[in-house]
Amino acid sequence: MKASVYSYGERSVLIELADTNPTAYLSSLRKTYPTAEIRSGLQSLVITFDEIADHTDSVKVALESIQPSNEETHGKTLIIDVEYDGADLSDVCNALGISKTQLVSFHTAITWQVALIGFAPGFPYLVPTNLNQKEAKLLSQLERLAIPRTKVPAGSVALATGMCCVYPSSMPGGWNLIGTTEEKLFDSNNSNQPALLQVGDLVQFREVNS
Amino acid sequence: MTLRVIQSGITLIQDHGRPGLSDIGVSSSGAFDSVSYLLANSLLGKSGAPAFEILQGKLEFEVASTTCVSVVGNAAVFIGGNRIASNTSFQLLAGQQLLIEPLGTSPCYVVVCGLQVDQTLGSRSFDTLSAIGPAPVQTGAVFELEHVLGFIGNFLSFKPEYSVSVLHYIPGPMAIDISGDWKRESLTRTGVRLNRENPVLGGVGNLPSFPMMPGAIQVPPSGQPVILSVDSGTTGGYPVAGVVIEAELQKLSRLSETFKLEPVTFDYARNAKQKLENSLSSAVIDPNQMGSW
Repeated sequence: MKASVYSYGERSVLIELADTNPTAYLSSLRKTYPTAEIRSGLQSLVITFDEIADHTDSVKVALESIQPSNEETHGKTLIIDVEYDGADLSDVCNALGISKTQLVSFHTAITWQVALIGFAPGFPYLVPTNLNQKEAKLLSQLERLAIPRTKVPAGSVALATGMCCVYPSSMPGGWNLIGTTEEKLFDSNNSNQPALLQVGDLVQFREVNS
Repeated sequence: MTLRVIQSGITLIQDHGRPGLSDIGVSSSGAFDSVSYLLANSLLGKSGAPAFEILQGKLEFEVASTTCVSVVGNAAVFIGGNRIASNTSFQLLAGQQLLIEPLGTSPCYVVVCGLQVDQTLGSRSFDTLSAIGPAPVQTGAVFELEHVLGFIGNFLSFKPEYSVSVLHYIPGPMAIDISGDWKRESLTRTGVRLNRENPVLGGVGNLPSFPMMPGAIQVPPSGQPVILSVDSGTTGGYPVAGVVIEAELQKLSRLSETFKLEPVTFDYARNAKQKLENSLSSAVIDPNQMGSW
């Protein structure tokens, strides 16, 4: 695989990938390093070992024989019901030059994959898996809001910089709100599975009207 | 029986935290000064018991039944108005009031045997970023207290340094030079903001979000770094110029107003960890071998 490897603290390495889907490498890396902790970033991976050492050289060698394996890395597929009533819906439609109906069918036709969970507990960064170049370019036109909201309602479904997210709870945020879901993305009282989504899972949104 | 809080100051409940959940966006959290927390447990012959973490102001409480308590930190400690030594374990009798008055800005830890606190995701730590875990301690709060024994009369053979003037870090992943003298602008459980007249050069703005860890030294476009700590977010997009060695992560909570950042090797980090483990294993002294009461 094409990648740059850097040491990151005393036990970890950061792998910066040339392509953009780190989740494709997760399962083969876990096989190579069964006892290490492996986390993915949007275009990177971090491997944390038990032993304090500069692990960059050994990881560089190991990476030479690692191939992406898309099929294995797909986790479960979830259908998330959304009411398309977000506060930024008409701004988003104007920015993309499409109607609300077109936006809804565009958004629900995309199969999204969880690339990263971060920012807040259970907060998923979703990337599109089935867009052509023109559609991907259209989606990536949406920037974050110039002035972030101090409070985004829990369950908000939002778009920015070519990605989609769902706010697990009410928090500050700068993504463009297009809808709302009643799905609970994070529950700290559920110790077996506190986060609804894991890295690698696929998400399909479905329109509902109340 | 119960423990009643007479004055709370700014006090949280902490234990070992929630390591290993960063892939679902949950910070490791846990005691800001993990070494003092550990020592407070060891004094009583415990491990993993929840502790009061006093971040600011005074903590005072009263117990309805006799129990064993330890206090670790730079603090004046009073039982019913009489000063006793800090960094020891002792008995607190039914009806007695304990007052802990921190003498500096470093956090103080108080373990009360039998204190009942519910777990959230395997820990009794309050995460100040996501508000997971037991709510901050309030004046008037009442905790259940079970009868649990602990060692008393123990003291410490070494005290953590209360005003840390040097932090050591492993440089990278990004090649940005952050070594030298710094002022700390603010110090919280989510991180330490640094400042100096000549900001760091070489920050490249935002990167695609990648996994963060406590101790990571981020360089935002302003050139004034932020050292992430126990409650920091699990991902971030600012370049990371170095990571504080793990043996010194607990020192963030005791950082003096001016300090030096020094790059070190992996060997240094390994030795520092070994040295810390050795100190901790022989830290508690039992003068009379008196055991539990």
